[in-house]
Formats: sequence, structure tokens, C-alpha cells
Amino acid sequence: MYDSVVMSDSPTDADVIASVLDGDTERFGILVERYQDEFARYAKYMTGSEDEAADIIQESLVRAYRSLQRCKDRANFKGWLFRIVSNQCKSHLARRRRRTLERLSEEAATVPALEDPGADAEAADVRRKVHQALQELPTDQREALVLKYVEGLSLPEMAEILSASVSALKMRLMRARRELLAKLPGVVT
Amino acid sequence: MKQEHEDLGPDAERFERIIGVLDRRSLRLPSTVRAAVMARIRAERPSARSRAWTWLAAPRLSPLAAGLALAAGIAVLLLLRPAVPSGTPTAPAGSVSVSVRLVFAAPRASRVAVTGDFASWDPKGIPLAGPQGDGIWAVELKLPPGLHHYVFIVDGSEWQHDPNAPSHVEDGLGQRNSVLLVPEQKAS
Repeated sequence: MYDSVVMSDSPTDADVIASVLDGDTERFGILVERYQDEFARYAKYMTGSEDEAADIIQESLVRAYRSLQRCKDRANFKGWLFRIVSNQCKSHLARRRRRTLERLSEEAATVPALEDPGADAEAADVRRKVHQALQELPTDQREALVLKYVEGLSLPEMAEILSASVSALKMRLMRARRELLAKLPGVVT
Repeated sequence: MKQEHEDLGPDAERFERIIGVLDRRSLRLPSTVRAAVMARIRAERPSARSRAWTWLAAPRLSPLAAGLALAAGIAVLLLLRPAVPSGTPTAPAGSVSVSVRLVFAAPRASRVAVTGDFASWDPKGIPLAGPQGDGIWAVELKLPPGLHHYVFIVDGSEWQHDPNAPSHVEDGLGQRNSVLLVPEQKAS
């Protein structure tokens, strides 16, 4: 999933990085255009807020530009950028710890782009509760669930981008599934 | 998918229905994000003068001063020698570059290099000489005063921080950079 997606007549990520490092800063806009939406959904699930996701993506792209010379595998810029986004999400959440659970619940309840305006009230209520329960999970468990069930990554792909073993991720997912269910008693019986 | 959820027993189907309500549609950020990123990048773009300074300051282009002591085995030494060989970059006004010896223990490595802001984070890095009989690699650099961030590159691909550096910082990419403070030395 994290292979670079490049149109046949478009420059590869590696080509763009080489030209940016050669002084053509404006070419970084190609990478911004290519990836700014790529991890937005992940960031939104991690933070529970579209505005915060946008801030995180912006900051991650600027950090990627600053550190571009440290991208060793330029063909896998996308995976490298994901790790930056992931770290930014975790740093952001750590800074936000002082907020109250009520505040988190409010954010989870107002995830507008995740709501389907056509859905009936009951379905919307289930979705709101599930998103709220996700926000209450420990960060690493929430991340594992989002990558697995929203982003659709395989365990080996998750292991690579999270620098964790497949067996460790299996355990993390198992705990996350149980925690999520425990937070939703009586929901979707 | 059910096989993956066997640990949940009879709750497996409920979990699948719960996880099924998650929205998998892609999220499109406002165009202002791209504009903001590019504006910040343009604002940070170094001037031609500073790019020239970075290029000139790259230690790989400078002859290295020799004969400096290695204190306490594995350590970062700041050797405060003000002399600058001709042809080396000019330090900021009123100060001179300082010879710095970096050492790194890697008995099993076939090659070790160092990279950092002083080398524009060149992934090839500046090679260290070695190993000595005790597996110690070393290089002597001539750096301008100030804070420098760096890492060692073992066998061309493994980036490691310097365990002997006085401090480290998170680089925001999941790794740690070592920090070296080169004090300002007035020319004599």
C-alpha cells in the first residue's frame, strides 16, 4: 500500500527529491500535492479532529522538506513520510494529554467528514460511539486498528512502517480489539 | 477476516460490524494546506550566501589538522585550536573554526562515516579512519562554533547516535541526533 503512486509521465519521488536537493525548492510542491491527502484520514482518526489532522500534515511535510537529505530510500518516500506523520501525531497527542476526556468526547462526536448526512440517526449514533471509543484507546492500539481496518495495511506492512515485529503487532491488535469491544457494551449486538 | 478475530470468540462478528462502521473514504484537505507548506518552505529557503557557506563549511573539503589528543578512550573531544590552514572556510567574523575529533566504537563494522548539519546530512557521510585494534573509528573535523547535530553511519546504512555525546535530540523522524557544542574561539 505504501508503494509510491506515480503516473507514468510524472517524475518519480526519487527524481523530485533529487531536484529539490539540487536547489529547485518549488519541485517539493509535487510531493506535497501527491501526498498531502494520503495520510489525512489516518491523522484524523488519530486525533479525532480534521483541523488538527490538517495541522499535522502541514507540519509533517515541512519537516520532511527540512530533513529530505535524510531520506535514505528515496523510492520509498511515502513510507518515510508516513513515519514522520505518525511521530507528529504521537507528539501532538502527548501534548494534548492534559485535555479532559469530555473534550476528547466532544471532538469524537463532531467528526463531520466521517459522518454520512444521509445515514439514519441510529447508524450515526453507532458511528459516533465507535469513534469515541477509538479516541479513548491507548494511542498505539488506536493506531494499529486504524492502519489495519481503515488503511487496509497487512501485518508485514504495518511491521515495516511501525518498526515493530509482526508477532508484537498481532498482540497489540488482539488487545485493541478486546479494548474496543469492552468500551462498546451493548453497541451492535 | 473472521480467522483473524478468533481470539474474540463469539464477539468476533460483533467486532466486525463495529469496525465496519468506520469511514474509509479518503479525506481531502483544503488547498490552503499546500499553500501553507510551500510558503513556509520558501521562507526557510537558505539564501545563496548561506548555501555557499554550507558548501564551504563542509569538512570533507577541508584539510584536517592532525596530532590532537584522544581523551578517555571513547569520547567527543573539542580541541580548541584556533589555527586554520589556508584554503579552509572562513568562520564567522571574530571567530575561527575549531578542530573536533569524533570517535566511535564499532569493532564489527567494515566502514563508519559521520553525517550531520555540517555535512548537509549527506547520506554518504564523512568517512572515519579505522578501526584501530580496539575497534575504535575516528575522524577529525574542522567546525564553525555553534551547535551541531550529527549521527554515525555504520556500513553505509545503519544510522546510530553517538553514545558518548553530551546530549541528544529527537529528530522528529523517530531517531535521535547527537548534539555537539563547539565553543567560539577568538582568533589570536
